[in-house]
Amino acid sequence: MWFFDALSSGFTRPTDPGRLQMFRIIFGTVLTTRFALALGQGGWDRFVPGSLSLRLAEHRLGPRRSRLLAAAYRPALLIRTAAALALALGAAPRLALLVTLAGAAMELLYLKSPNAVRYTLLTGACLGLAGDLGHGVHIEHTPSAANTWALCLLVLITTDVYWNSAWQKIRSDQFRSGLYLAQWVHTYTQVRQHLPHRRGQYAVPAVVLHRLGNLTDRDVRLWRLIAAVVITAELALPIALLIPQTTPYAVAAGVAMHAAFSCLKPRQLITFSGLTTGTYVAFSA
Amino acid sequence: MPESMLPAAQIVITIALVAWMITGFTPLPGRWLRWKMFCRATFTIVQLTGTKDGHTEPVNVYDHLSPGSFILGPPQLQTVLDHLTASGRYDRIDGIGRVLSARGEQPVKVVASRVVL
Repeated sequence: MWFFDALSSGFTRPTDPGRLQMFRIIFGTVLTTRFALALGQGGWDRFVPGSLSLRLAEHRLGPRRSRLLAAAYRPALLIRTAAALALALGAAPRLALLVTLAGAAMELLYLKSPNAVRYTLLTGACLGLAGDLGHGVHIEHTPSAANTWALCLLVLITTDVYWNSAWQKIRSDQFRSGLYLAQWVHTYTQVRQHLPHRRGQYAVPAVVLHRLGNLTDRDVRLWRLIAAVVITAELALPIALLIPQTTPYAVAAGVAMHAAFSCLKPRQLITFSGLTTGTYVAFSA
Repeated sequence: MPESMLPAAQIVITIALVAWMITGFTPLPGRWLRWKMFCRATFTIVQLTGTKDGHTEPVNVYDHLSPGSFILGPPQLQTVLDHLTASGRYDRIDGIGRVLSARGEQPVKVVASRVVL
């Protein structure tokens, strides 16, 4: 497997630099989408005077720093969107990458569970460590060692996401028993009429809500089965992606799994699903 | 950096990254490389009524959560109640509901803007 060859050669083994350049384009596209969507659904009005978000920021950062954040917030939303687009198009990619990552890091100051931001920063750092990001939307295929290390780091990070996330799920009785998923869907059926900004935020098929949204013992048992499938898939995917014979099946299974997750919160999972499936280009030699 | 130093630096950084990843599988404290997604949560399904100058109206607590999320535990519910009363929007908020968590289902009440389990 190229990954272990690359490791044992001390990252001097030539690889196709286009794989990382492809990831640069996917990364830029996903982040452009995330940043553009962050302008809507109340995002532009975050930190307006009297809002709960401003109160929480004051509580967390103190009055002076929260004022700075509120003042820089709207310009930063616009600048980072332009930077992510420039990164996708390959215009001054290193500078664009730095501004994109700074714009993503800003969300660490106010998001409650910033896992997507952390994953963005880690995979973005891999891009920053690559020797050849390419220019424009042209992809270079002449083998070189320029991107070998960065590809290996991307593989390590996505493998960690899958395995650690499986580990956290295994350790959670609530998830393993099926209760978490059953309660999630049940709560959704009960409160969805009251949720703001519903457009694009949820895409749970009606049949799932009707058949699996009632928190009965049967529902919980079915969700327990689905929980076991998710844990198994997360454990198997990184290995299956690296073995050339199983790569196409693993890609199909991974995309299907992320599509299913995305039904729960499509808009919020664009970054995570887009970037994880984007790193598949780093796995496949 | 001389050419020969580069692979060495790359190897050291890679080993450090893997070591950091391994801590994510241990009880050691830390937030990064611990991917707790979709694995634990407390949900609250609650109907609330707000009173202002003797008039009452329904209060939609879910309006105050981040778009795309409805995970809400009693402490977060209390934060929203405090915000709605401290800002003067309501004199008091009351209601009933239920909390779903790893422990199953529990009733919850909101009495005079306080969450009571």
